[in-house]
Amino acid sequence: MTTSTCVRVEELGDLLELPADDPRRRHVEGCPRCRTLLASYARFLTPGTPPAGARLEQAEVRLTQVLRGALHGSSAAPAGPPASPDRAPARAQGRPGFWEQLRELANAPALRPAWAAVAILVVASVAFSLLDIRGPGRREPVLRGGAPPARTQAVAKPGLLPVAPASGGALRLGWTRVPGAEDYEVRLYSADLAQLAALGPTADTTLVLRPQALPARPRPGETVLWRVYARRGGDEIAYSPVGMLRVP
Amino acid sequence: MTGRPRPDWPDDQLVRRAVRDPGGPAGRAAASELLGRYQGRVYLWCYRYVRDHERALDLAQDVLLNAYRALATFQGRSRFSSWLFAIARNRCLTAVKAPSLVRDEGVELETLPDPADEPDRRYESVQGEERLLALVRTHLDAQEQEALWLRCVERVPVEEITEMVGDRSASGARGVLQRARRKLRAALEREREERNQTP
Repeated sequence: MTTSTCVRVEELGDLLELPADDPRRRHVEGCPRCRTLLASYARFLTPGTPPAGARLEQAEVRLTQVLRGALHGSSAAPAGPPASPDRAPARAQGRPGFWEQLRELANAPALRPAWAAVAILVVASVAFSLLDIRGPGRREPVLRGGAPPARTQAVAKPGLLPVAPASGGALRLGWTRVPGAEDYEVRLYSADLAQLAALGPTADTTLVLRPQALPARPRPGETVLWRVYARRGGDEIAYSPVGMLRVP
Repeated sequence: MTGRPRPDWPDDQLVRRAVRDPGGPAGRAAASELLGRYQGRVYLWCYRYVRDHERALDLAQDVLLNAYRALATFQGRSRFSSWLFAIARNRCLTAVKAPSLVRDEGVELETLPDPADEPDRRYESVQGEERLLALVRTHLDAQEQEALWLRCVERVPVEEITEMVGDRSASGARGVLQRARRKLRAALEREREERNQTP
């Protein structure tokens, strides 16, 4: 539905600076596709009042955490409030600091189910360590986004990336690459720590999970724990923190 | 250029630093500042499509993480904001179903004939979008074109279109879209009759 003179989406930013008699500007005036694209881009840049139901502040908190996790991976996460390069922007832009965000989260009634899920995760993590199903000789139970281990690791851990929805009710699991690892295995556990499945090995750092295709068939809404094991020559060399996902 | 990135640094300066040192603390800090300043806009953009906080959050996470992973491929030939907008737009377009140009259940609940018996739907599938686009340009005014394009190509919800096209009437964009589709269906019907009369 485009013509040769239609602007590409990536060019929209430059379009606004062109003189009014520029052929591309004139084209936009008469082309519904380009006109609406430009209007959409302007809307993206200047959103105006958030629509009813949008929870912008909560979203900012969550997205800041996601970005921080993605930028650091799990092994390099800073230990706490002391200055870290990637925390500075959030404060500089007037967003609340980490501890303020934590307090807000703790007090939000809407997040109580999430805190319950976190409690499951904590209990499961402790149980993981007690039952010694954590992996090859590691001793530090580390939650996603939690404090880093006190001692230096010989092998980096896979860091879990946020679970993303995929088409057909599937979920996309992702993790960071571990230097030296040849492949990865993903193990799924129910909230009572029964192993639901072991998927892989795969050399990729993503895996599309179709919960309904698992033999255990977890119910929609059920909490499932997951962990990634990095392997070399068939041996586990590192494992990730425990992640949690909700079956769609 | 040393030290932490400042909020007043332009996007392209942050992009250069993030690309130059992608694994180092300076590069990560630049990427964090860069994506952090757009995260609210990305969320709101996604929210306007799906009208659900959790779904919008998931989409926004996807957009920001995809942008972060692809940052090294950003050539700097366009603005970062429009590059990120392209990612956000594509992600949202794949997340929502496109309504038909001539029939929209979200707009016209009262007129839903059997889809198998719709001549205009058959025509639409046979003739393709290009022919419909020519009819849109010929028969609809600028506001109707814009509203229909936003709804059917950009897949923007009707409430959002009302704000974007600045319609102040009681029915908002719904009325504009109904009018546009009536015109379009009439034009399609005329075309069909002309075709039938042609030997």
